Amino acid sequence: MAKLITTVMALSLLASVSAQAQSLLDDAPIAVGAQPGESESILSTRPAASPVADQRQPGLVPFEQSSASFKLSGEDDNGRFTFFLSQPQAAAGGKLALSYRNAVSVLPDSSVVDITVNGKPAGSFPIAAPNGFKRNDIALDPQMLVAGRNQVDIRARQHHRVDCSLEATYELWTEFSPVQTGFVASGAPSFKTPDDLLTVSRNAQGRTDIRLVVPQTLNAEILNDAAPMLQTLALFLGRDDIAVTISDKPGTGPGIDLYAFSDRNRRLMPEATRSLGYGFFVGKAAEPGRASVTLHGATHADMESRLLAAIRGPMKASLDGSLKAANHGRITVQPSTTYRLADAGYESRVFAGRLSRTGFDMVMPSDFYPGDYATIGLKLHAATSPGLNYTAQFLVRVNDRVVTSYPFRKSEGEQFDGKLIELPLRAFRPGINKVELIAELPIEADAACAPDARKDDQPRFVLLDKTEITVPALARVGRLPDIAALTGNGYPFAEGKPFDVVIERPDGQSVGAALTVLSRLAVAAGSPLSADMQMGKGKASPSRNALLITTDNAFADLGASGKTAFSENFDETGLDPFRTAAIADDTSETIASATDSTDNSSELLDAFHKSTAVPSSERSATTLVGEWAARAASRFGTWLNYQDNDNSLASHGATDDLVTLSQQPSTTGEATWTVLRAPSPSDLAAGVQRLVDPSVWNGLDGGSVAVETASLDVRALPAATRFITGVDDRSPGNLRRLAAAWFSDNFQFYVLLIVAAMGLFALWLGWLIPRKGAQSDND
Amino acid sequence: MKCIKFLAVPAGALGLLLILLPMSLQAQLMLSCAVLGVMFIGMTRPESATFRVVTLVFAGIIALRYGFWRTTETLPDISEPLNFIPGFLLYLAEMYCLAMLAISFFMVIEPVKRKTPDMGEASSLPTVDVFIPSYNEDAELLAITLAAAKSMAYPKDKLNIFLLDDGGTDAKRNHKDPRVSVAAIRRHEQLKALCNAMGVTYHARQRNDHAKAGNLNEGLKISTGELVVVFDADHAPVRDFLRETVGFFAKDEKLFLVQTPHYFLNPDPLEKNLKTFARMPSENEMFYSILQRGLDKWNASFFCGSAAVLRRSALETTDGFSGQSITEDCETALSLHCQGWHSVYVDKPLIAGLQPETFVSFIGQRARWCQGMLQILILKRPFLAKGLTIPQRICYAGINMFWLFPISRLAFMFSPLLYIFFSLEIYRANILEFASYAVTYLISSFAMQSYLYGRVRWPWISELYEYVQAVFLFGSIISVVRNPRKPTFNVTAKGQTLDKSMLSPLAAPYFAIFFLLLAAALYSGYRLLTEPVAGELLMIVAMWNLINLGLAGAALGAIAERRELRRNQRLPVKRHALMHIGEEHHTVIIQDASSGGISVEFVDGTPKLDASAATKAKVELRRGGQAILFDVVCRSRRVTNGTTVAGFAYSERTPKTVMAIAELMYSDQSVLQDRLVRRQIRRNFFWGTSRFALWSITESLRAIQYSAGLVRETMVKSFEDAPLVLNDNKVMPLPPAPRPEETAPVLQGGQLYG
Repeated sequence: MAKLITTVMALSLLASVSAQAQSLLDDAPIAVGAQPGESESILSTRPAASPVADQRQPGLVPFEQSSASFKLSGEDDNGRFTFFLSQPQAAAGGKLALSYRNAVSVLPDSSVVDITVNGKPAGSFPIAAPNGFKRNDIALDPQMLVAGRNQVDIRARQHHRVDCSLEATYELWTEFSPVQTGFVASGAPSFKTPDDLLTVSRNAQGRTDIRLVVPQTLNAEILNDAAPMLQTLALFLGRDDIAVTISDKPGTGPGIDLYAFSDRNRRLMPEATRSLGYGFFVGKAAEPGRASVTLHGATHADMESRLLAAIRGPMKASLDGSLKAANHGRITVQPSTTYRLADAGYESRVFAGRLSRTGFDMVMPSDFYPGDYATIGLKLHAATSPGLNYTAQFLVRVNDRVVTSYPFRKSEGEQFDGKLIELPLRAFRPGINKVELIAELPIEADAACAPDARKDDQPRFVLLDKTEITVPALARVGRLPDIAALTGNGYPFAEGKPFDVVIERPDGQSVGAALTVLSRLAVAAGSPLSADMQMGKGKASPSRNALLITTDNAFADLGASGKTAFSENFDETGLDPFRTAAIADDTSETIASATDSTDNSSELLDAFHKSTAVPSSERSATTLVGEWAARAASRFGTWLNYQDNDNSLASHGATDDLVTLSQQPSTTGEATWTVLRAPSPSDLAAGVQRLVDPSVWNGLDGGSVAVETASLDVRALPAATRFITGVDDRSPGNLRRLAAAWFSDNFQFYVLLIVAAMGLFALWLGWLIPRKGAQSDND
Repeated sequence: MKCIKFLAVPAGALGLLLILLPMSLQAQLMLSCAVLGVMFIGMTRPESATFRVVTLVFAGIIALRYGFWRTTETLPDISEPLNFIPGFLLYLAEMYCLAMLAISFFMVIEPVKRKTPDMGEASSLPTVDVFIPSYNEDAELLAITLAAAKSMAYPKDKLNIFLLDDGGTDAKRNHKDPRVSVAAIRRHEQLKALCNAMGVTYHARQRNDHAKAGNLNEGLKISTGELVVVFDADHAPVRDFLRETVGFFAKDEKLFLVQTPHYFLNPDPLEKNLKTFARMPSENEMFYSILQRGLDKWNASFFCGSAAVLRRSALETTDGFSGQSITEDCETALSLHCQGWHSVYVDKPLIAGLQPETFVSFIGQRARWCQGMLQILILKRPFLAKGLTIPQRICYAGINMFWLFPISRLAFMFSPLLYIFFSLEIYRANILEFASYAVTYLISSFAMQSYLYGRVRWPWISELYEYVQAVFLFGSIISVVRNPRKPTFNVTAKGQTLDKSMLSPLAAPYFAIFFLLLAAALYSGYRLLTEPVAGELLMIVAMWNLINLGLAGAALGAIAERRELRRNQRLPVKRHALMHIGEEHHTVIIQDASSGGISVEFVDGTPKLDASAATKAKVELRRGGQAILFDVVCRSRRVTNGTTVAGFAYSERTPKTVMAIAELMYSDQSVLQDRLVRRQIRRNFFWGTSRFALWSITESLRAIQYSAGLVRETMVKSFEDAPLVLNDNKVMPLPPAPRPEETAPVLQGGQLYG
């Protein structure tokens, strides 16, 4: 909270009055959201997606969590959700609407969902909706509810119909609809106080819509006036599915209309808003379920102080709650610190299934350099029951990759009081890391899976919340490009240093995309960012970090409207950042195409070999040995380059991409420019919507990221080279860790340096030794 | 080149910093490969000091990387004491080995080769007193040593020989047990007569205080020579002994010691039982051919109790020989090095002696060395001793700490069992880490072992000797650590022979360990086959245990003792002589000679020899125009490759005969040298490993056969040696001194110092 207030105060120092009026706004973009199941194989057990837009419930107070957490999978999974109620809403009571569907493999007879509201059991129901979303209502008395945030715990215990194998547990899932699930309050939302904003519903796309209403003639000043308010609102809502649109008209459907202006632009704003006078106001919009928020100050500084007053006043409690709720299930890592699973919101639980999965996120520092110089220690406090198979084991997955395993050897049961399991630091990355603790717990009876012999409720494992995670001292150095640090921590914008958001083409879609990304970055950073909105080309200062929003059409337009301005801007340096970006992209495309051709040829060759393959029994021993050796050599090569076997190099296609997100040093190398680039504004808007999708955003990684036009698939390309943006910690310990990490990545230098240094030392010793001590007598 | 120092030292420091970085496995593997590559290049020119140092430094890199990784990443968590405590002990054992590796690299960085300086004019030569301390050796053995000492080339007026008899002291002669006193009186008289006959001084002191050191100090009191030579009772010197050693004293006034190697005529129990004598370099060759030369570089070669020349004036500064520990030799050298005196080591075998032949006496000797060296380590703290140079401190610490090897060896033997039987994880590593660190370290270790010691040590033999000793020396270490002043001097039994193959009385623990390791090997195999997730760690541990089992199997061969019928050890002298048989005169080549007889090859036609009728003959040797004659009697005859070789025994052994034997056996140093060089052949790792694996199987089977009493041997009748005759009085062998702990009827012979 203190950080947030400081940041907002810093923002008030920003003087941003420069930009000139620009073109008219386009229509609000069409939000693009991927429907679940779209990219799945035809063998998927997931039922067909059903249209959800039409089934929206008016007056539904949604759960605040992002759509990604609405799916409970495995045999026993817990979801914790919150929703906000005003005093009258809580006093009136209502019902929980739980709209869900499940995998066909879930056995309805014994699979059940248990609901707990504010720690009290509220009801349960069997899981039996394999054919589409089914709604279950659970009435909640006013006694069960509180004014403010209410907590709902949903536990799904699911069993497979026919298969008792470990693999089959991955087929078990129950999914709640983020749009249709929530609390159905007795009355319509009132939208009088800031807290009421927390009850705003999601739109048809499952997003929380914020419409920034601006005058027809847009200038950067208006955006700079609105940016702090927008970011604060995003943080206040605590939602990571916010989609910002910009228009001169209010939005439709559930959402929030935001008006933020100073006296300089007052005359351009709608009459109703102007009449409110100075201050921070929350009110109802014309559309049902839609709120309006207005921030009006005499000057930009006045706006800031009024916002600050609101943050310190009516917004404070809920803002704190939102920030806290955002950290549920997440450990924000500080080096040389020990955490407990309880810190990630885990509660000790006895597990009765075959495959126990416990997940949480670890947010690593933005300047963390992954390497092999240390390990994260997991001190396991757990116990297994007697009768487990020899194959029982404990696995840790980090970012969807198994990094370590520990076999449960004792079939008579075992207790672990701080058993140390080491997780390689190399598996982690700056920003958000998904960690899963998996216990595979097969017993003999699972093989038969006879209905009578099934003991689905017999406990097999308990994982205690006092299980510790010890983070060692980390190598710290800012290295870019790093999309994971950007999306996870808002790096390099979250460090309090002012930066530019340069919108190359100030159309509505581009500006909306920029603001959407900005608000998402603020949520990632946990505080508003010191963004200085700029419109037009060449606005980025080479000495400041910048977020550049550019579309290819901008260049086309530029070509038509006059290149002189363009070249004038960059005469001094002789470099054109966008052109540079394009060149850089060209390079990556070249690399990509080279990779592509290799991939294609290798695929072709692969297919040829497969089609002409001789059965192994007919091949000679020499051939088999040769093949084995080739495979071993290839695996060794992969290992030596720190690549995973499944990590085939993705490449960014030249023209198929809706949007690409990349980072590069500024023209002078003093700062970092993060470039969001698309062929056209509509592509940009659609691409950004895809990128900020909670299920996509938190998984972004690599040196650059692209969204494919046709499939909306997101591909990450590892950074070919990284540049250092700064070392804050120059202690010998950190420098040593950095050396270890860097030399590990570039071991050829390590080997050469040691051989050279020690070789020189040895040669000198070789000269010295015969001159010391006794010497042999020559014949 | 000197200014390179300013570049090389920082480079070394930088290298060290880099070596001590926590790196990825990939980096480690690549570094190991590169470093091994440089090492192998360095090994191509062993004669170049630069190449040698480069090789050692790069081997050090791999060892350092291993030690760093082992310390930082493989120790079990302290919160799991069941894993941590044994894991930490194993770690300490390994760190000990790494420290010893570093010290040994320092010691052998450039072994010195000495060239004998000219002895100088006879008139300017120093006077020399030869001390032959004796305890209870028989007169025949002493007679040969005295004769050889007497025959040393040196001006007669400057050479005095003293037999310092601790078996005939006043205290012994007046012992309250009449059996002891009668034997001592008899011994006293006989040896006195022998010394009279040989022209040497016999001296027996009043009391047996301070064992060998006390005896030698007594010698100092009764003599005045500038130089003092010490020979153990069985150490017969070659003729040139003084010529090869005395010259060094004229060159360096601060020189207190010239040490020469101990060369043995007989096999030790391992050599005898594994049948490697004369094929494989002896165990002590590594010490005498390489380590002492390495120590010599740093002025740290030390006194080994015998076959050495010392300066009296130096000994006087420390009140003679030190006797606080039971290894008075090393202790004396340490005291003198601390006083700033110098030592020299001459790498030429100049004496021939005997080593313990039975396993019991072998272990007894090693226990004394081990305890004595640790006494010095604890009581004298050589690393902190005043007056030593840093290299000397390192060298002394190294040679004393070496004797802690039984702890590390046993730790390596038993550690795998903890994982195999109890799944204790005392070494945390996966197979990739093991390959990148441990395997590369092992490769480097074996390569360095072969590079540095390959000429004198076959692969796996060090490990075998270590293990064989470790089983009993472990107790010795515990005892000396608990009470460093407790151990007392035990005289090593030598010259014993077994007339029947049998298990050593000490065999039981070796069998127990062997079967324990065998059970572990079988159980680990069972676990590997039945446990689906048994894993790579089990595979590593099972392999490790298998190597240990191989060691334990081969060690069973060492304790399954083969009989030794030969009382006297032969030396292939290849000497021309004349043999007179009746009226016939034959030119012969004396193929080999021992203190009991000679083997003769007839050059000019074989005479009629009747072994059953004991044909008598006279042998005539020539030296410096003078004839040396002695009588022999034919005992055997055999024809090999068309050549007749006849065995003759001395018909009688008078002082004159003994002088002739000494002349025959010890007049030529090259005989010993040739025999030494002949077996110093490098064996590569794979040859050595397969040889060793074969032993593991055959020797363990042989030991089991012995334990089941399935020894099929026929009794061989042999002729007694001719008795020693002094002044027409036959000297009968003395009855062995009563030693309650060694009363096995098969043991014959006496005990010697050394």
